[in-house]
Amino acid sequence: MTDSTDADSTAPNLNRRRLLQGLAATGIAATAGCLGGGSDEEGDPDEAGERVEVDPEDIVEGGTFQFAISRGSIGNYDQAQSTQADDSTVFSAVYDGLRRTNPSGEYFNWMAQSFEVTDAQEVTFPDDYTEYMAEYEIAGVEEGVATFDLGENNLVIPGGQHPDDQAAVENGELTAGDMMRVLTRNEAGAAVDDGVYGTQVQVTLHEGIEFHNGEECTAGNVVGSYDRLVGSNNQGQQWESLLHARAPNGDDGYEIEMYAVEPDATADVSLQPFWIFPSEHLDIPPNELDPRSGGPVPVGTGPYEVESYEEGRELVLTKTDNYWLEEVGLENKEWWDGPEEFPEGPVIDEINIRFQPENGQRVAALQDGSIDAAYDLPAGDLSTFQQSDQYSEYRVTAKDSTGFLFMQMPLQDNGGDLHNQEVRQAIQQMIPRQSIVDVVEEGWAVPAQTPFPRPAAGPATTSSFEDLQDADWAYPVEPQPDEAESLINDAGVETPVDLVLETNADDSARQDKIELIIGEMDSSGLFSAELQTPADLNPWFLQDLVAENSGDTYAERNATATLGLAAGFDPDGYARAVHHPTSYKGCCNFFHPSGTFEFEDTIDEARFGLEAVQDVSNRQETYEQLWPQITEAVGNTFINFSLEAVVATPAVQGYNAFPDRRNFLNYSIFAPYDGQIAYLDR
Amino acid sequence: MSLRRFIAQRILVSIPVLLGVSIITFGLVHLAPGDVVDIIIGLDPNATPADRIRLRNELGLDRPIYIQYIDWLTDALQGDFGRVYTMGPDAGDYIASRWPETVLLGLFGWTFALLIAIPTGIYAAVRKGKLGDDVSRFVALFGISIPNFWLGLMLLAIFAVQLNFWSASVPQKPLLSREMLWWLLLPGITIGTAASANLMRIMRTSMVEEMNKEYVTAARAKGLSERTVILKHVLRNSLISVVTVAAFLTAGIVAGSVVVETVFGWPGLGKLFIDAAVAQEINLILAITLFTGVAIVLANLVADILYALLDPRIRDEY
Amino acid sequence: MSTQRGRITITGFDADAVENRDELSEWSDDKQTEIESRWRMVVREIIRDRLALIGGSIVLLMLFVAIFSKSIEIAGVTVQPISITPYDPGETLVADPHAAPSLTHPMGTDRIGRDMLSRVMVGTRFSVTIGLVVTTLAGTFGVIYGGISGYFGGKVDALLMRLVDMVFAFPGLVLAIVIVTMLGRGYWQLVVAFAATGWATYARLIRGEILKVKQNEYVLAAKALGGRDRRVLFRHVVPNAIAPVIVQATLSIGTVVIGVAALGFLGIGFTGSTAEWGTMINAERSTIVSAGGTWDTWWVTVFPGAMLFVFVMAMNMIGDAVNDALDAQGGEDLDAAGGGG
Repeated sequence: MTDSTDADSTAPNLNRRRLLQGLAATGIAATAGCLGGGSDEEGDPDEAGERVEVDPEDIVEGGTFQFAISRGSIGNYDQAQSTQADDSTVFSAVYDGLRRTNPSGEYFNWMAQSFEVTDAQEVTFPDDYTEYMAEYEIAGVEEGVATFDLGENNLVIPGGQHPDDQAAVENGELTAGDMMRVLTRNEAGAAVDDGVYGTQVQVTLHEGIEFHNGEECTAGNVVGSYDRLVGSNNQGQQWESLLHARAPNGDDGYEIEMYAVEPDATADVSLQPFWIFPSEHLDIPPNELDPRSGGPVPVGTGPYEVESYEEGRELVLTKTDNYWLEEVGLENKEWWDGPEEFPEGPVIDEINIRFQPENGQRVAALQDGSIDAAYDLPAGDLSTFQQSDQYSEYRVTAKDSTGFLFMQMPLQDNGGDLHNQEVRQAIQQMIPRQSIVDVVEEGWAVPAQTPFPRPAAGPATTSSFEDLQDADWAYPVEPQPDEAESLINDAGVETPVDLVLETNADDSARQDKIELIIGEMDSSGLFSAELQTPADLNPWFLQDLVAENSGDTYAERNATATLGLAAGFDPDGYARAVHHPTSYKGCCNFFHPSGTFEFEDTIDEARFGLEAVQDVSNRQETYEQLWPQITEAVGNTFINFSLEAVVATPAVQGYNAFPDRRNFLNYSIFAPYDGQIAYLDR
Repeated sequence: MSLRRFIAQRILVSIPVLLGVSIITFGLVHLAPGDVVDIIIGLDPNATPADRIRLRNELGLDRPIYIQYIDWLTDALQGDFGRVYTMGPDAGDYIASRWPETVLLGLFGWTFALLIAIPTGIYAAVRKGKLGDDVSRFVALFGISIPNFWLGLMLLAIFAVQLNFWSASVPQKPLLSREMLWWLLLPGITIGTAASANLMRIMRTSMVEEMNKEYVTAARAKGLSERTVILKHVLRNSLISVVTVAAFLTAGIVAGSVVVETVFGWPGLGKLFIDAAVAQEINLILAITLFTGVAIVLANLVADILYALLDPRIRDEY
Repeated sequence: MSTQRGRITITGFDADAVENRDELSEWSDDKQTEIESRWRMVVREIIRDRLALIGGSIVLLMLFVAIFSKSIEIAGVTVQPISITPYDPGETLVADPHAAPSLTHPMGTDRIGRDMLSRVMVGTRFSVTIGLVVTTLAGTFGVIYGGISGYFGGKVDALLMRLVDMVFAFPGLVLAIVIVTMLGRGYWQLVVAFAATGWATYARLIRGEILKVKQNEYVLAAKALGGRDRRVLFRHVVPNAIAPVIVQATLSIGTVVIGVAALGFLGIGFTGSTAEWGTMINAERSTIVSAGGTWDTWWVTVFPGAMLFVFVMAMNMIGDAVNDALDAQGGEDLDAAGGGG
């Protein structure tokens, strides 16, 4: 399974998106009981979303937490290289970051004593940086992109090609052997020295933070950690917006400055290094930090260190005894106002990572108590664990997550009917979102009424997420055949309209949802729809969806494409990924070339505009204008959002889920800024 | 010829076979539409074309296919089976860490196949034509008609979930500990049942054949008890063909373990193979296929040797 | 003495003198009653076998269902208009999802409310046909291949058999999995995958038989009595050699069907919403080991699983009877080589 996810969990990058290959594993099945059919009741995600609070006096220290991940082994111990979300789940207990977040999307300084966006300027990249660019010899040109043989740890800042030279490369005038002006990491510093940058973030580290190996974490570690991502699978994501990072007081100091190429409202989250490594690991090339292939054991500043491991069978993390927060003290964190007895580090002694790739095994192990907690369980089991008397002591905790299912439609006028906005709107009105959630996900999902999920709601609106559900531009949860019929009539199109609904072949839950949509559409008489599954996700995506004229071919066949995606904690990802030209022919804008939508600039403004960077309310207002345009244009329509749910046995107390599974061993175990702490009481 | 020469000759013959296996697999995997590079970073929203080019050069994918094969072969002969793109350890490391599990499961399966097939075959042969024969035939057919994944799921559901005799998940104990060996009974039975089918039929056929031979009539005429006749003479002679076919079981057991490892979550090479195939991880697919190929070739070799040892007539033919 | 290797030759006879003299008996190449009646005896044996009869009727019933479950259209022309399924197998929410078996839905409904009986009936199309198609293709190709190899012998034989060895070095399912993941999902991709792994057994089988028969007494006798090479080959060699092939074919149909279902179960067979039995089991797999108890929604996995089992069992009963019947004719030594999963 190629989950191209990002690595960081402690400060989730807002624009890291990952293409979903189906949530909750293969086949979501029910215990009998949906729509009043059987013995068990339907699940209640609202109840699961309620927090359980812990009274510090009740806390029992110690114990081994048996935590099951839904893979057969760790993908890559080297987090610089790993793209698997489940790897991050484990290693977010080993590595700490500069800041932390909570389920509401608020940020708290963590290893950083202070962390501020101190400056934003109106610059354009790459145009304003051309005088800092240097000439490098082109090693090769492919698909209009020039590549170079740069030294170690160096790369071309993405997008940093001189505009004239880039045009020349695309025309074929410049080829291998010629010189081209580009901005690499080596030159970025000079630009920053001259004050040319888009956003500046200044960070001060606490003193005395130690890695598991005893080394003190200083500015040099933070700045040097970027090096490990050069040449890694995650390089593109780390340098999405990053221009340069430096330590103004030297590597032994505690001050760090990070710079974005343009003014960027997400800079505070996206600029920091995904993982902070000790000095002895900084020279290790990506992929080599894996003890299974002879590399060293990962070492970080997090509360747990790797104690022992065996490929595919065992991985044990133990609480480190020099955890930095215990040294620095909670009273030195400016957000802290809790009781004195509150522990300054996790109280669980050991985390035993259990590999349970099969759903059934996870369920059975929870039942007999051989594991304490697991995620990624089928919806039916979630309902049973939550509702059945047999499991009344068990806890099901769930949070709205960042994954979503969407249907993209082509707007090209090429013989079909989809170029009519009314037809697309009619389709949007006919999707049975509530039924899909109830039947296929058995209630353990959220029908989409807005084009972004709850976790991203903060900057997305001036009002609340709940209020928006009733907006007049919101998606309907129940199908609206009358509305759809009048839209079709307005379009003057013959009914029934023949439709092809495509999705990938290797996800039966997704196909089930499409079947439900087809059932609803066909029964209205307005449409005659058919499901097609051209290929598995990867080949489908790479051969059909991003093919050059996919918009035209899909339009001709009256075909739509339905996929899943996870777009992080910032609303920009949701608008940009499926509408914006920068995502065109990538993930996940297949059909809409530049100029398709009027609101493309609005998307940019909401994130890269100077006003947006300076005040979040500007962002909120901009987005409020954007959402109605998106739901009216129906280049994409959103179907449902996902939940992340954890089932914990009675032995576990105080455990609350997080919208992102990568924080299940991080936030959910210990997050003093929310009063969150989990302990074992057997 | 001498046994040694016989063995040497068989080994020599096996090498081109193994080479052929690797070539076929390599060719098939490269037949797949699409690009290894795309598989690694194709779905990454932030990947740039430059990343693709870099990766392609790094992995040497722009060279002609036969050169890639030769490179792979020379590396493989030195023990380097190449990188697994979506995961950390090399293909060779994966094989090295998981082969004990697979072999152990295979041994269990093999044992059960023999335990089921031989007595049933004998019984059926002895009772040929009578009700006992029908019943045992039916039982044998029953055993092989059940899809092994179905059988595994049922066993898991009944014994592990319903009755709680077994744990549904793999015990976290050393590989050769008592708990582990006990746990392996269920998957072992699952594999063994499916694999035992052919073996049972062979046992029966071969015994029936033997019993029709003249020496049996002679022995009976001599006044030996039926029991002695069967167990001392017939069985020994029919075991010859059974032994050799038992070695051929290996292929069936390996195939069975792919499914059974998935059902039971056993961390062996079978499960890894499925994951590798789906992810189109060429190096891992090649490494595992080669591993199973070697196992089967070895088993065939053992079978041939045993056959030659037990039946000198065969040896003399060479 | 002929120097053509591999051809059937007799030495020591003055063939011309023998061929040109008067008939010693009424026997001639045309009177082949002997062989026909042998086959008739075989068929009678099979019919007499109770188990085979049961198996045969089950298979016929399934074939019937496969054809008539839903209408068949080829290139827009309705070739078979009858649909005996009570509901459209693809129609969702005909009742509550996971409804227990009842009068209106004898096999209950699946997770999105589709009628299980209809789906199980349509499922026969995949399993029944794919077994036959794969076996026919693999068998035909394998027999021709092995026939060539055995007939010519010598270097040709050695070379061709090396390729067969290579195929045998793959455990049955492994090669099929590699092919399927490369070619993609679909009926014909699966056919190719399983045919590509199955032909080797037939090749080796027929080649072994030919080699054996070449030295058999009655062939020598036929030649001695004046029969020509090709006639001997087709009248004597092939009919005898074909027997184990037929046995193998009937037995391997079941193997192929299980193999296809296994791939469906592993998630690399047909697409998830296909009404193929193995795929249906996979899609509802989480109901088996679930928190609500295994037997909570037993019908969604038991019925497809049972159908698989019944069909394979029926085929195997037939195959066993064929095996026995041909066996009784002269103790053929059947080579049950281990490939084929």
